Amino acid sequence: MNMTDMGPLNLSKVMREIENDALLEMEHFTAQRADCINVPRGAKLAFAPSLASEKERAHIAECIWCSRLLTKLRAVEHPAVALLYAARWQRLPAADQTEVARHVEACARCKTVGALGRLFGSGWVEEVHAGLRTALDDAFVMPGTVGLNKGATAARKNEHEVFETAEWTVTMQREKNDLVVDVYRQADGQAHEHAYLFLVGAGNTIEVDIPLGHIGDSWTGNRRLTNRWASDVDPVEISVIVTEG
Amino acid sequence: MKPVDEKEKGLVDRARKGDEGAWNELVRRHRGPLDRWIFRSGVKTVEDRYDVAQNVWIKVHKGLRKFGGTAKFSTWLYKIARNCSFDHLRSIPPGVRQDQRVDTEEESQPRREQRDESTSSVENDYIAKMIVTKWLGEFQPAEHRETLWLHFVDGRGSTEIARMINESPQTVNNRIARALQKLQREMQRLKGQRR
Repeated sequence: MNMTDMGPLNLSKVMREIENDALLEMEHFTAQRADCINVPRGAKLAFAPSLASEKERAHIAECIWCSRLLTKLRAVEHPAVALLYAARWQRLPAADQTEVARHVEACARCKTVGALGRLFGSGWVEEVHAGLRTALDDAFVMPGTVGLNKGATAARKNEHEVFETAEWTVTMQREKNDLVVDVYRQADGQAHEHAYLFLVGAGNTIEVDIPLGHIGDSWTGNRRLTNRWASDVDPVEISVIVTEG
Repeated sequence: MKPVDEKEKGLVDRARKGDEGAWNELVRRHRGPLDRWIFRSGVKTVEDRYDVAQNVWIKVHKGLRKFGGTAKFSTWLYKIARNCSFDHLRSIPPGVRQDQRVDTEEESQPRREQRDESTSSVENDYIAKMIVTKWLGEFQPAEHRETLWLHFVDGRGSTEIARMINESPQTVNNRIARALQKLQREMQRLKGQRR
C-alpha cells in the first residue's frame, strides 16, 4: 500500500508499534500500582474493612483504583452468611457493620438470610457464632459456612424438607421416629470428605456428621439417619447450617 | 491442541483455594496478554483498560470455583476479557466514544511547513502512526477492530479469525476490505493536502 509521497505504508509494522506503545504505557501504569490490593484480598476486605492492616487502610484511602475495586466487589459479592448473622446481632466492628448493613439494605437475598433471627434464640448458636467469628479472619471467604436456608412451611406439611443453596441441597424426611438426612454437594473439583449439619431448633440442636462420597460426575453426597426426630426437634423451627470439611 | 500447562493448572487450583501467592502469579503471567486483548477490542485509554482488566479479574475470582479446567485458563480469560471490553464500549455514549481518539483531526494532518524535500523517516513513521491510529479509532463499531489486529498484526487468515470470533469468513473478509478502503480514502485525502 502506497503512502502518498512518504513511501509504502507497512500497515503490520505500524500497527505493531502502536500496540507496543500501548502495552508499554500499561506496564508503567501498572508498575505505579504495585501496592494496590489484589482481588482476593479485596473480596475479604469488601465487607470486613476492619481486617485491613494500617498500611492497607492508608493506601485504600488514597487510591481511587482500590476504592473502585472494593465498590465493584460489594456490588457483585455477598457477605458470608456468618457476617450477615453477626451484623444482624450488631457483633461486627463499626466499619464492617456499616458495609454489611448497606449491602443487606439493597440485597433481597441477604435480607432474607440475615432475617433468620430466630436462629439466635439458643445459647448453642451464640456459641457457634462466637467460634465462627474467632475463626473468621482467614476463613470466611473460603469454604466454611457455605450454605444456610430456612425450609418452606408448605414442604414441611409432608414432613419432607428441602434446603437449597447454590452449592448444597439437603433433604430431610421423617421415617417413623428417624430423621433421614440426604446431603448433596455440587462437585467443585475439590475433595470434600464430610458435611457437618447443625439442625437448629427452637431450643435444641442436632449435629450430624455425614461422610461424603461421589454421586455421578456432578455431585458428592450421602445419607445419614438420626433417631432424634420426634423427641428433640420442633419441625416448624428447623434451620440448617451446612459446613464442609 | 496444545498440551495442558500443568504449572498453570496447579496455580489455578491453588488460587481457587484462596492462595493469594498463586493468584498473584496468575495475574502476573496473564497481565500483558490480557491488556493486549482489551486494547485490541477497542478500549483505548490506559485508565479504561485498567478499569476493564479489574472487571475481568473480579469475574475470574468469582468464577474460579466453577472453572472446571477442561478449557485452558487463557481461553476462559479471553472470553471474559472480550465480554468485559464490549460491555465497557457499549456503556460509552456515541458522542463520548469519538473523544476516545488520542489525536484530533488537526493533529493527524501533517502541517505544510513541516514538509520539505527531505522529509525524515522519523517524521514519516510518526505520521504513519497518526494515520493508522486515527483509522483504527474511527473504525466502527469498535468491537470489530480486533479483526484488524488479528489479520494485519498476527497474520491470521479469515477462516481462522472467523472461528475465533464466531463470525463467518465472509463477514471477516468484508470487514477487512471495508477497513482497507477507508484507509485508502484517508491516504488519498492526505495526498491531496500535501500537494
